[in-house]
Amino acid sequence: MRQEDISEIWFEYEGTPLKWHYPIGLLFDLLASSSALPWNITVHFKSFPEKDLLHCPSKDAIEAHFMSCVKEADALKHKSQVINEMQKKDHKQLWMGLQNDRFDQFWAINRKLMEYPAEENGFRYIPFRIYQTTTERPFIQKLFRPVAADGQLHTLGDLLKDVCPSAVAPEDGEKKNQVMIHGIEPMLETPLQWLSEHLSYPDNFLHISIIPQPTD
Amino acid sequence: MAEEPESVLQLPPSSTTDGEGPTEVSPETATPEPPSSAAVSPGTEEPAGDTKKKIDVLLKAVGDTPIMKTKKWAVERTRTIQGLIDFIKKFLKLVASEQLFIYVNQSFAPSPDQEVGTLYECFGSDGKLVLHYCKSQAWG
Repeated sequence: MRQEDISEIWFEYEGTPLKWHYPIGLLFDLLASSSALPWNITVHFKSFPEKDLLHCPSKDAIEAHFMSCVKEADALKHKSQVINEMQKKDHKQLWMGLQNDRFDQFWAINRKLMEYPAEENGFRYIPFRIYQTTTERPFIQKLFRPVAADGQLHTLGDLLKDVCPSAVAPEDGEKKNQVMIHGIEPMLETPLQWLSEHLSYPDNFLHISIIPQPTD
Repeated sequence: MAEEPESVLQLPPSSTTDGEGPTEVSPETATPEPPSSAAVSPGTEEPAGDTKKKIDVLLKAVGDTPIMKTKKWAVERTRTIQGLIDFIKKFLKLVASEQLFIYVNQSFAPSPDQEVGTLYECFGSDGKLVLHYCKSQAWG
């Protein structure tokens, strides 16, 4: 390739530009979960799709985006109390741990973000985002508590019925969609609080993909 | 927050304070002009959860960033943070190369492609979403 042909790099899969600010696991679940691994994506050096993608000017922009997501998640989980009590170096450790694939380093700080008062049965609200390829909206995000008014733990199914009813099949109806997190379909009976603690992405959000049920 | 003379008034300045209800009609409320649908009282009736209705956004300047005379705006729910940034920059006559950051809860900067309607649902209070804007990074 000639030097003058190279401008800003971006990635694409089957015609869809890939957002750098979404976790790659989410992009795979949402766009390519039925395709074989390794995931083949196209790398572009020209014709940056301004309408579809944010620019990624530097590594600092990625760090800033990541920290913003963690802060937003903690605003939902603990009214920002946990993230605000941390020191700058703790924030840095979260990012460095993630960046360098150092799980222990990351989790030493992240576990504080996963705590909640013993007298509660979970976080204040569950940080989640629900993505669908079939809609124009980027994602669904609302306030949703892990525990119902009657003390029952809310499940993944409860969440979907409430905020995205089209995603769940009616009782004994045909299953039209898959609900994916990290490449698996968790049972809809799984308590949401448990999912939030164990299947959140490093940014502390549950990124949930609703994709059409594959027809063989 | 000091009241400023307004160029675009919604209603006679009878109620200058924010009411507790969703019917707050502040004389500050105005509609950003790009896809503006005439400045009709956007705040008069606002049943919570009505997805069609615009939402009230209160814009507050941080540090030495210029304030906007009109602080409260009725904004379409599907408008993105980037759309809002572009609007504020135009309003303040900033040059295109100048950066502008928007913060929720004086804490985090939502991604430019996030919709204000979603932020309103999660972080709005008293019928409005308070956003701080700044020419430099104000909060980590």
